[in-house]
Amino acid sequence: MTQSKLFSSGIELASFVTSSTILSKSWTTISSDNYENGVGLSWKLDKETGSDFTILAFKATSDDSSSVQADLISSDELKEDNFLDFEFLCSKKIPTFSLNKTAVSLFRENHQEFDSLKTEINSSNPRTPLIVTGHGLGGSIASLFVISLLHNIGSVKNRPLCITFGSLLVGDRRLQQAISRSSIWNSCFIHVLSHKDPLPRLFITDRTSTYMPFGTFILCSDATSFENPDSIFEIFVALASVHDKNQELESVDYGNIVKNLYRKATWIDFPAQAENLTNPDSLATDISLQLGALSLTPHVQENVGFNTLETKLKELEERFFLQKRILFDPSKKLNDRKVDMAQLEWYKKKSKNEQIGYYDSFKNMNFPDDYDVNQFHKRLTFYWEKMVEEAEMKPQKEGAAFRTRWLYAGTTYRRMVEPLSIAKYYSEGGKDYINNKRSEHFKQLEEWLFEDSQNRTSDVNSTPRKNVEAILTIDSCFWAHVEEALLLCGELKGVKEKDDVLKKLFKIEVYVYGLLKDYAVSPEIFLARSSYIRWWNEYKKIKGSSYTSALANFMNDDTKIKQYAIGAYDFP
Amino acid sequence: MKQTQTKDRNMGGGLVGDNIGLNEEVIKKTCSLSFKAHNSENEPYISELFRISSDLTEYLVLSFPGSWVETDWFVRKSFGETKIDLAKFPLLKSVGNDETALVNQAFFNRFERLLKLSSFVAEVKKAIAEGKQVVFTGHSSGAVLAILATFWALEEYLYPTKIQIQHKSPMCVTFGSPLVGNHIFSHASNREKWSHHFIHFVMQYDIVPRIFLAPFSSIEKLISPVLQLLTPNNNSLTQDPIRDSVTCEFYSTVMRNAATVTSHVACNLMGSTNLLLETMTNFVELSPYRPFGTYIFCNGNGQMIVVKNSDAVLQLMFHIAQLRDLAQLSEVANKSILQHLAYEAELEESLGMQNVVYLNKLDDLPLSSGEGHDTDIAAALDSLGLSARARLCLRAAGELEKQKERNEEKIKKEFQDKAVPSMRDLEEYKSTCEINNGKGYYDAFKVQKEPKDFQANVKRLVLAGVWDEIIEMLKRYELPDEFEGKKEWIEHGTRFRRLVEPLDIANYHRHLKNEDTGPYMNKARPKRYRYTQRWLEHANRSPKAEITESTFWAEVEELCSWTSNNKPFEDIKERVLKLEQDIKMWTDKEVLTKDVLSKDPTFIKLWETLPQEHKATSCISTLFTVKE
Repeated sequence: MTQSKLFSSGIELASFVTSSTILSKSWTTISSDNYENGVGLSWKLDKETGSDFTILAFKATSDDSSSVQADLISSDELKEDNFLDFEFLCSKKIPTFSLNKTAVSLFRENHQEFDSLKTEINSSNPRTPLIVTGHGLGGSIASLFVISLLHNIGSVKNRPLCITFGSLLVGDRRLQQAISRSSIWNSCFIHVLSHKDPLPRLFITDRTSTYMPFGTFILCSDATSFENPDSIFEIFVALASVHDKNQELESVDYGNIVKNLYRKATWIDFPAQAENLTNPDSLATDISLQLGALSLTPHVQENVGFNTLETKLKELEERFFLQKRILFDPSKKLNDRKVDMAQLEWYKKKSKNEQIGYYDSFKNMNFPDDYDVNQFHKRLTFYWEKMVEEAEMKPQKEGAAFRTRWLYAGTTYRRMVEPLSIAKYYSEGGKDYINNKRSEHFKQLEEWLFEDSQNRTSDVNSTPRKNVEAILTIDSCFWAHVEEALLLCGELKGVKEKDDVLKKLFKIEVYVYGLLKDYAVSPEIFLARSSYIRWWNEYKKIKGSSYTSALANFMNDDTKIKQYAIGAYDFP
Repeated sequence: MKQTQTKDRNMGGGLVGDNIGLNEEVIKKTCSLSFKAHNSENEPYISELFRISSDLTEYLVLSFPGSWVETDWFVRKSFGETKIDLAKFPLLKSVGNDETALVNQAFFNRFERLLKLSSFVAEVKKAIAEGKQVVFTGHSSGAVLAILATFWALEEYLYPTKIQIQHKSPMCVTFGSPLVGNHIFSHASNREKWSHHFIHFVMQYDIVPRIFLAPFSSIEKLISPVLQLLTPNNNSLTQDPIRDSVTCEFYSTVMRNAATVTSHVACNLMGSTNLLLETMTNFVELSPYRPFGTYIFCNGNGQMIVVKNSDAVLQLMFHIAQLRDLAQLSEVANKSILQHLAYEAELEESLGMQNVVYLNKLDDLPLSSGEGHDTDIAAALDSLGLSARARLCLRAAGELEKQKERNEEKIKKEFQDKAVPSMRDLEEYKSTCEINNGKGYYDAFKVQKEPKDFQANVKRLVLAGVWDEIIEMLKRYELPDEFEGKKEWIEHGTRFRRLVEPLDIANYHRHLKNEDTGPYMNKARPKRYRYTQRWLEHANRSPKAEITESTFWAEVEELCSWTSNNKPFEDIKERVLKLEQDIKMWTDKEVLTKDVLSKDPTFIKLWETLPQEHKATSCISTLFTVKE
């Protein structure tokens, strides 16, 4: 819902998390004994029978997390090394990202054990929800472990939850972007950290730092939360400038923090009469409360510039909200586009009555109607380009569901509209549409249909023969082949070495006959003024009237064509 | 920056009795009867008939005793909710979404036992028939019976087709009532305009209204000693250390769970898009129970705060009972028990003082006490100790309510701009088809031969766009609760469904989608028609019809494809008979015009394939007299 007045629900979300038992239960497992030892790491899988969830906790053996270096390793390097656990995060838009080298090395050194851990978790029956947790560097490993589970989650029930305490950041901005592609993925991470803990900020010293947070951050002294990575980044920078200069590295007791927050769930934790609350704007008030919860009050921050930070956060939060809300919602506009499709359908019908077919009518641009079609064509193409782009941005599983939902409409669109794109291209003198001009989104739509047909028994491509009159030609590039054939006929007059060209023409002939045999071509191609008939006539002239072939045999007999149109012709 | 505003901006104004529609004297009476009922535990209820000095109305108050037996509260499952019996409470659902209300099963069982009592049913029936003002009341778990009895009586005696002028709608007044049902209670009672029949008094710290925000497992061990403490006239009121530790733990547990659920709701009120809220539901048990009706919070100092927005009520329930600091725990925990039994004294004082504040304009509530455009409101919020955080939650609740109203405005405009002209065009299309072609618009549309058929298709799609948006909003509860109860929308919906659904069916069969996808009714009927059919059926309290005046074309097509495949008539005989009876009824009622049918090629095709002996006796054979 688009609300005109904005709120920041950060404090409420933090309260939701801290009043539940998940933080304290995670911490209990972290601080318990009997860990299994791996290389530089140890872990414990806590799955008591009767418990609400399974908890997996990680610990780094070296207890000095603060000595971890900020060095990054890129996903390309990992790929070259044939380590593919995180490869699924890469996409066309985000082809590569980087992770903290130390954390990744630890993860890789224990890879086999991790695989058996995953098997053990999956085999538990009944399946209890999984929490993966850790403190400091252990938290970074927990994050990596959950990332490696992400590509297999679909339903809410399957989502694991990663809970880290005072954990180091694990990757750069592109990692954050890759995970934020899916709101579901991003929702699997909770990072708890104290405003006094310098460890999480280790890799963000100033604005030039390459590391970027992802997931939801519960920041405390009093708890508040942020999801927007840019806001968290700003707060890190501010906290760094306030705390680090006059502070030794003191270790933060998260056990105590968690206990306090849990107990405080029933107290009024924010002053009833905070200073500076005269602002009627709810969002601004929210943010100043949140900064208060982090002790980033005006007194503390002479150097940071409290008002600048507050204003900046407000801007960032506003932008974040808007971005999330104006996300392209395909169903909203679908009905409008259906109107455009109806217009085209009507255009097709009229052109058929003119004995020309909508392909050629549009190509010739002889009538006002033909010009009107331009706008439907444009709007539809714009809509579907956007749609396909959106689907591609989504991670595989979500994307697949999305694609199945829109596949039917997308296929009809492609078969109806791509001929228009072809007509336009060739009427402007273009050549070789398929290799030079064909838009990515048409290719994608076709590919999805192909993938989809692999997974199902009934085939979208097969229609009952008797309906052939109503179908759209299955191959949306059919007309491009016809145009190429016409161009070849033209070429034939100019060249001496005709064999090569004739071979190509014969290939097209075979192609057309194959489609006809499958009843995959609309009978509109046989209309008297269609480009296809024009080609056939020219081709026949070249071949001579005595030419025989399967296609010629069919084309030379009007009754066969008529029978085809009603689905009654049986190909030999 | 301070803004100067008029003082009475937030005021509903007036005495509390006038505002809620029940005299103070009656309220006091119901309160004392509520507690009196506890003493006559062996009676299922007590009743008293009386008049008050200021008006002529005769009141019948029925009051129900509480039960402090654990099984009358809990069914030992996490929240113990179950779908309510729609046969008894047909309105407790959301209409279009067809979502049935959830109710506490233990409470519902108790109510069912009450309803088997013929003397109770007879007494209520008689009083309503005689034009008496019936008031159901109760304290604690007795209140629950009062609530369910009120819904039952409203449905049984006052729904539109049964109501008579002298009937007075029953009222319900509760004291320290636990939560009974989920958000559908509030949604449905707003839709039926029954919210103001329910008045709930709740003391600031009373623990009982909050109990069901906690899952059973979390309070299992404490529940029987606590129920014992909550029993009126119990003798263990002396302070002792065991009692103290029980109350402290109980209070803390309930409140912590209340914190979880209220902050989850608050995030949604504030429009949070963080999916962590969804992911976390795997790991956290969230109570489905929500308040509904009008709440009057008593702060223990004689002040009363009246709130009608149920989202705001839930937020207040948590925030006003919070601790200021840990040192208060023992004191507040003790209060949370004692206040449950203190309604009589509190009401005596506060109804006398008439210190009432109405929290109406929640969306611009003052955020701190310094912000004083309305001193009454500001003072009341301060006296409840509401933090800035709590105030923001209330604002969000108010803002959401406003947003729903704005959404309806937006839809209204869209409807005027797009739907109204398209409907006009389609009406015209329908009549032109009947006059010119003599065949009816169903067939014309299916054949799609002329430009006007195509134009009609465009209009159909425009209308689909407008209605689909309405349905989408309903699905997410983004329109005011009243929406599906509004006569104008039910009429718009019905007119739209009757006129346009045949075109959708024609379109479906034109593309022969029935052959690959399956029958229209099972596989393809759009929600815009399913919802609007439910609206009308709900308004008329009629049962769900399988085939309606807008969908019989789909049945005609189905039967037609059956007979044209030479399958035996006997297999579909019953369906044919049913369809013929329905058609007769619709043509008699003039919902359908005869010509629409008797000249339609698809229908004629079906008719002609039917066996001669069947046609001769058919109830619609007269439609075809000319043809035969």
